[in-house]
Amino acid sequence: MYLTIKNVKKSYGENGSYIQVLKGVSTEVEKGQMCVIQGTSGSGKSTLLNCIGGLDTMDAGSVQVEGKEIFGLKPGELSDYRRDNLGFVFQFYNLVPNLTVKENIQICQHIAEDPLDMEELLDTLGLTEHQNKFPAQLSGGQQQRCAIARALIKNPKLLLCDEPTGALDSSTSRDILVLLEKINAKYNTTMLIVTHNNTIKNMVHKVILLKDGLIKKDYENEVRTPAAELEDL
Amino acid sequence: MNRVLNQRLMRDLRANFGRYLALLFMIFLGIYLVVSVVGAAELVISGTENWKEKNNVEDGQFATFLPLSEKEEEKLKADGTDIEKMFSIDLRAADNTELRAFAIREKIDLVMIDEGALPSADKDVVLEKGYAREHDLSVGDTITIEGSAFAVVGIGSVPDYDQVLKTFSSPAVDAEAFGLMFVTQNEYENLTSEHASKVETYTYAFRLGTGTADDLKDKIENLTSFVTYEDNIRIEAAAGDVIMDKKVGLVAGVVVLILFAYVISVFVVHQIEREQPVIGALYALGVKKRNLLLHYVILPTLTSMFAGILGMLLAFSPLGIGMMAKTHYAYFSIPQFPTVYPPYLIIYAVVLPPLICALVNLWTVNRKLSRTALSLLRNEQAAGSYKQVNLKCKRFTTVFSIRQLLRERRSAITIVLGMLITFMVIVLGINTYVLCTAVRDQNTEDTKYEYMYLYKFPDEVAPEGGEATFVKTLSIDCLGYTLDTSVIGISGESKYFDAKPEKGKSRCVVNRSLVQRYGYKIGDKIILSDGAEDMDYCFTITDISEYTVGFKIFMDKESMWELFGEKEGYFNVVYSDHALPIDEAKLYSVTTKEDIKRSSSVFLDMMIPLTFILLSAGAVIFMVVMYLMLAVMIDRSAMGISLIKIFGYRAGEIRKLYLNGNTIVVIFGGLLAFPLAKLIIDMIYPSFIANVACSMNLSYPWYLYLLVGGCVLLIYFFISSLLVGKIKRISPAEVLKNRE
Repeated sequence: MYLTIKNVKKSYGENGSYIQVLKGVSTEVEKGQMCVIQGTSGSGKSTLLNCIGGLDTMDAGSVQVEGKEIFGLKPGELSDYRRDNLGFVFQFYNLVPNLTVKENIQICQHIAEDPLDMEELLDTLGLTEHQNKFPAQLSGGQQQRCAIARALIKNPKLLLCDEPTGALDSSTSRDILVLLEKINAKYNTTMLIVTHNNTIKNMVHKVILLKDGLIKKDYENEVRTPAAELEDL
Repeated sequence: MNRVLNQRLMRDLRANFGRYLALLFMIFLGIYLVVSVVGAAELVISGTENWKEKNNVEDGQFATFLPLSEKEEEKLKADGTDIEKMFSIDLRAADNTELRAFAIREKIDLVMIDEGALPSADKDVVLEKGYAREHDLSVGDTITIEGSAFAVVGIGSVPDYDQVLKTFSSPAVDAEAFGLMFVTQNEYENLTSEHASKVETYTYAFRLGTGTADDLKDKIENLTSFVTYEDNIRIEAAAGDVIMDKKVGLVAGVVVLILFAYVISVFVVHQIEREQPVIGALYALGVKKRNLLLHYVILPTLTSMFAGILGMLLAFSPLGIGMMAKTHYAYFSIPQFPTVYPPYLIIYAVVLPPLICALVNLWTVNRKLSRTALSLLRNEQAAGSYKQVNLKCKRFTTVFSIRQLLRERRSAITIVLGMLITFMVIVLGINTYVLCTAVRDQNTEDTKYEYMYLYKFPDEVAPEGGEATFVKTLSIDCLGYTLDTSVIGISGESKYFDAKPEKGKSRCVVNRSLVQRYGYKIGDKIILSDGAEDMDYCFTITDISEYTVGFKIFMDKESMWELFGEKEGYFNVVYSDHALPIDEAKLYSVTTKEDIKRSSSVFLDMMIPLTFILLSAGAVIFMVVMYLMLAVMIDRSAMGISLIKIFGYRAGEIRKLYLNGNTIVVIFGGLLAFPLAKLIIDMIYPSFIANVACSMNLSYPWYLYLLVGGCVLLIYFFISSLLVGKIKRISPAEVLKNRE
């Protein structure tokens, strides 16, 4: 199993404002799987993603990536874990505004041991002609493609996407999902996609539905709908 | 609306307490220093003005070869002019120091007693305060002068010697070696008869009636010197000296305040950039730009005002003006003046900091708030400024650092401006130190003689073993001051001066001091004046001598005799490398190499505290501005730092990307700002020492440049290391809360 999550608990605040966001979440994801974590606002899906990504600490439980435990790692070790294993895509792209598309991608290329070919990646994501533009000169979809390219250049084993289509219109969302599907097929990248969109679950291998900090459903799709055919995005 | 918005001012203050405290401290320090310096100058200026009135300062003085007869005196007084004898005789105290003895004055240049009383009996003496302080003498003590014991009954000062120079051409006050004493008229007559072998100087002070100084001068016979109040460098010297302190202090204060206001504006702009969507929302809800403008400017403006008031209050306390005035009291012989509170200085301290802060901030903030509500709501990044620069460099870290610098150019410019101002303060301090050290060392090195005998009654034949020269004292006018310049007549090779003047009445060699101060070149004309004769002399410069003691020009001795109407063979000064048996009665004074050395060291001793203050103030400004600007750069990059932490960047790599680019700013800023600061300060430096006839060697040894550069880098790396902690505190999760 590529990713094993066991009884993860996480709470915020203290005394009167104490709130338990994750109440013991356990699941597994296989290598090369696309997995959607779905749930309403406040269900704990982003918190779970952050715990897996080592951006947030867990109160209890275990997260193992390829057998390596990340619970209890020190900040420096977490940094190395993210560097060696992960790619991140955010809802609001989080591109560095004063760097061009190519330079934004270079941020991650610079620290990768075995990065993908830049030109090929730009071509795959349709960014070749925009590579010298700044984020403010791009559309939302182009910015998100740039963010995906930045995450992929490291050739990460695990790609974590937090609402990757949350800020995009329906047509652009479909393009991005098609792209993720293509990448998954091409690079066999394991993907965890957090979304509140009910349609995206149909294109992935595995679906995890969170409610009030607990897994309500956890299943694998027997039949997947290609992203290009998704409706009501 | 503003009342609601302003409710968060205290929260902002609490959130950025360290930053506002640092700015408050800097403005407080700036105003404290400016008000202390300017207030001390005002104290001296107004105090001197009152003193002048109260103690009947002279309109001028003249000296005659022989005392005036009663008839001659009456003739001079005919137009209502008041004349009083200021006869003097120089005596030796037991410790071999010199005291110029005067009888108590009755009408003009009255003695101001600080402590004790005027002398009422023989062997009572009032000592000039500088001499008394240097020799640890106070009322009730006894001092032995020429073998006789005198009771010190008073300590005081006189307005015609507020700069106690032994002669008009003395380079500096030397209270350790020379002072004044005042005795009763009877005692003065006893002294002159007991020490008849000593030369008595027949000086008269006058206060004009209906005539002019020129009218008076025309009536005097056997005149040896005539100096008006304005040309007398001993009178009002303290007030003249502090005028420049006042001007420089006021201008420097404004420059420093503009810098700090700009530093503040960087913070305010950063805050506005962070709050763009909120501002957009407020605009959308109908809030006017002027409300927000006022809101963002009010906290820095109040901080500046508060800092200014605090700085002023401390400056008006004994720890400010009182302390600063001590340096004037230490050098000049002036009474203890009361502190004054000039309204303009109070307005300067209270109004100027908030005014400059408000104007600079309104100017910078206005542009930031002039965007549309939608643009602010969308948190749009201005791409315009980035897209102008297309970087060809392939190395990612270099590209990143350049982009980061371009983004943070406002802070980078502030750092460079801060460096320029800091360096100006530091260069001023170093220049002062270098100048004083050079004066001391070069004067000692260039003085080849051991004894200089100045004759009052010259012999026909020069004493054996001495080099007889003809010296005439003229004056040069520059920057509002009249400074003595000695014309020295030389024939053939001189043992003591390296000048070879050509023959000719209008040809001269100038010394290095004149070249350094006034920029003379070979071929230039130099004009010198003779105040007593009311004559101007113009000379063509044929060569430059490396001699640096005071202002000197060298002429061919024969041409000089001819020019000044002296007979062949005339001399009035003898230089020698050993003591000569010359009758003391024939001499005005004897100056030894040791005297020159000691008086040349006075400047250095006096200026070391000022140098220390300037260097410390420069270092503090540099550190605070550098820290605040680098810290704000990191704050502005918090999102980016957080982001690359998510990608797995390590602390060292983050430091490389976000801090190392600043090393370039600091290095290039230093390479640009230091020579510029040196150039500016060197240009204005002559005005700081306009009243002192000395050389002006401001060149630094090479290692001083390395030392300054090393200190700058040391401070920078120290601050960078402090900021690493700030970078470490930025959480990777930061990026999840906001978007850049």
